[in-house]
Parts: sequence; structure tokens; C-alpha cells
Amino acid sequence: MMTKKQYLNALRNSLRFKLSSEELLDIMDDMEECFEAGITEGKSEEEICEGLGSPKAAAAELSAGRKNIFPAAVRPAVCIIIALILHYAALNTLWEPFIALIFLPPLLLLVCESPKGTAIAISRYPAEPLPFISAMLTAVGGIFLQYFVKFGFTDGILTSAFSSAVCFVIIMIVSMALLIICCIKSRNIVGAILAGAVTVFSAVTLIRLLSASSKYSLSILDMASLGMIKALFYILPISAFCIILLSVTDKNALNTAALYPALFALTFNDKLWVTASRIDPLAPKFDFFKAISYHIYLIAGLVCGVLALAVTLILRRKKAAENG
Amino acid sequence: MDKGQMKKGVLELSILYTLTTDELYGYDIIKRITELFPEINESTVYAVLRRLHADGCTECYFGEHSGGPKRKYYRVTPKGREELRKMLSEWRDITGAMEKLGIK
Repeated sequence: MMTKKQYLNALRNSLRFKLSSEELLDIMDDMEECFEAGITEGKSEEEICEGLGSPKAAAAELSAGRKNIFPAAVRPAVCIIIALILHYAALNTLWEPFIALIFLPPLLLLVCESPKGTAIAISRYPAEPLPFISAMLTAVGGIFLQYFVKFGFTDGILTSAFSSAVCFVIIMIVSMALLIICCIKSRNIVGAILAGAVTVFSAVTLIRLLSASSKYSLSILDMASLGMIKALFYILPISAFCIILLSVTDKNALNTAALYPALFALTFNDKLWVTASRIDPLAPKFDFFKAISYHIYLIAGLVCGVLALAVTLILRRKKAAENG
Repeated sequence: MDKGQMKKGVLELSILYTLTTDELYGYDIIKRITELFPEINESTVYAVLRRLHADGCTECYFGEHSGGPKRKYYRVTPKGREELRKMLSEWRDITGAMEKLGIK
């Protein structure tokens, strides 16, 4: 005998790796309606569950014909690993602003879903346009950031470096705002709060950058942005890890959109750190750290990816056992 | 013919036909159909209803329910009517053939 809550949870767990989040939410709404209507007629929750049939059978009916050849939950972890390998390769070969473009394929992979809820390499169909736009913006933002990192504040082209930083922060704010909308749409409240925090943080960075620019003094500008850049360095990996876990454990479905800041963070953090150490006049020469930072980030990123994968697989096995 | 396929075909026909006479909300449709076929689970009917909807045979609108919350009502689209016409003609062919065999 099952209660409504148990039934809906079991159904959701059986479907979450096969259907898109929108489809799943729609089904959950319909099921709620069924329960409400049944209860109005005086049926008990147990009777309604019985009428509906077992959650496993219901899930099989509702996902008939959906092949789960590349589970949606595994995809983001794979994407992060691909992105990091590309990133590593890029760092060791070229150092060009437009290298950020190489992140487009994994980003496409990350945000696109085929109509059947499966992902086959680069899918043709962006199921959710907002995360798609958001990821594209980040890729563009990455180009600006790379430009900023390449020339920095100390190479005598202050205006270019400054405007790149401002562009980057503005792009961050816009793409995070889109992410918040995505999270709210998929009722991923924790994701929305995290994205909101990053938005606020980016806005503060923007204000500080702008106030520093009004003085137009290199040292003040350096110092004003330095703190923020350093803070970004610490905050982003933590939020990246939280978001990875959040997206694989999301109650309603895998929110692929929420994964993108993780990718972003893992991609750009070492560059931020290198810049921070370059423009901080008091910083010791971080040659050793600089040398190993790429490797630390690669390893940390891979660990995140593998952990996300492991959590996903454990969860799936657990749910499969629960559902008999 | 696959037993499941035949059953689904009959369910599709029944749902579309029911919706041409009345505009109903999800649970009402499910209830009517399961009253006709008591051995079928409600979720099976719901899955067929969703598939019809995904194929563009039905459309939804939110309507008031007496005293209750807003509910999702379904109605047949022109495409759905066309599908129903085809299904009915196939159905008549089958029943006609069966009658010739002596099955009534």
C-alpha cells in the first residue's frame, strides 16, 4: 500500500533519467490532479494508487520507446571531463583569446537535449532555449575574459583590459539571470538561490570596477578588482561542486542548465588566479603555484566530474533497488 | 497482432471518440475509459492520452471546475478528428470482416 507521496516519488525516480524536466513536471502536475480529483470523490490515497497501477508499470508506459542510451545524468559529468581535457590541451599549446571557442562543443552537448530525452553527441534540438542562450553568452564572456587575462592591467592597455573585465561581469550577470529563470522554471529553488548569489556577487564586482574606473588610477583599479577576482577564485569552485551535486540530485529532473557555471568555473579559475597574482603588487611570485595550478584544477575538475558520475550511478542503483 | 498494440489502438479510438462528444479534464477521461475496460490501469489510459496529445490529436485548456481548482481540459483538434475518422473506418473494416467470419 502506497501513499500519494510514495507513489509520486517512485514514479518521478523511474522517469527522471528518461524524460526532459518539462515533460516530467507536466506529468507530475497531471498526477497531482488525478489524486486531487480522486480524493474529492472520496477515494483514499491507497485506492487511487491501486487504480493507477504500479509506479514502475506507469513509468514504463509513459516512457515507452524512450531509449536511455546516454543517460541525461551522466552527460554533464562527461561534458565537464571533455571540457577539461580540451582546456588542458589549450593551455599547453595555444594562448589565444579565441581559444574559448573550443568550449562551444561541450557547452552545446551540455545544454541540448534531443526530443526523446536522450543526448547523442551534439544534438540537433535545444530543448530549453534559455540555458542554451546562457551558455552561448558565457562562451562569449570567456573570450572577453581571456582577452583581459592575456593583457591584464599591467601591460599598458588599461582601457582594453578594463572594458574586457566589465564586459565579462555584465555577461555573467545576464547569463546568471537566465539561469535563475531556468531554475525557477524547473522548480530548482536551491539552484536559483545559488545563481542569485553569483548574480549579486557579479553586480558588486561591477560596481567596484566602475567606481575604480572613475578614479582611473591603475593602482586603485588593480586593488579594487583584485579582491573580487581573488574572491571569485575561491567561491566559484565551491559553488561549482555544489551545483554539480545539486543537478544530479535534483528532485524533479536533471537541470542541465545548472551545470554550466560549474563548467565555467573550472574553465576560467586558473586564469583568474594567474591574473590576480600578476596584478597584486604585494603578492609573492607564485611561480610554483602557477606551474601546478593548471594541474590542480584539472585534477579537481576531473574529481568533480567523477564524483558527479559516481553519485549519479549510486543514486540510480539505489532508486532501482527501491523500485524493485 | 501484438496484444498491447491492439489494446492501445482501441484505447486511442475510445479516448478520441469520447472527447468528440464531451470536453473533459484528464481524470474524467481516465475514469470513463477505465469504467469501460476495468482491467486496464489508469496510468495506461493516461499514457495513451499523453501520446495523443503529443501527436497533436488533442489540445488543452485550463477550465474552471465547480468549486474546485482550475483543471486541464482536453478537446480534439482537426488533426485528431482526421485520425479518429481513419481509426473508425479501420475499426469498421475489422468488425465487418469478423462478422463475415461469424464472430459477433
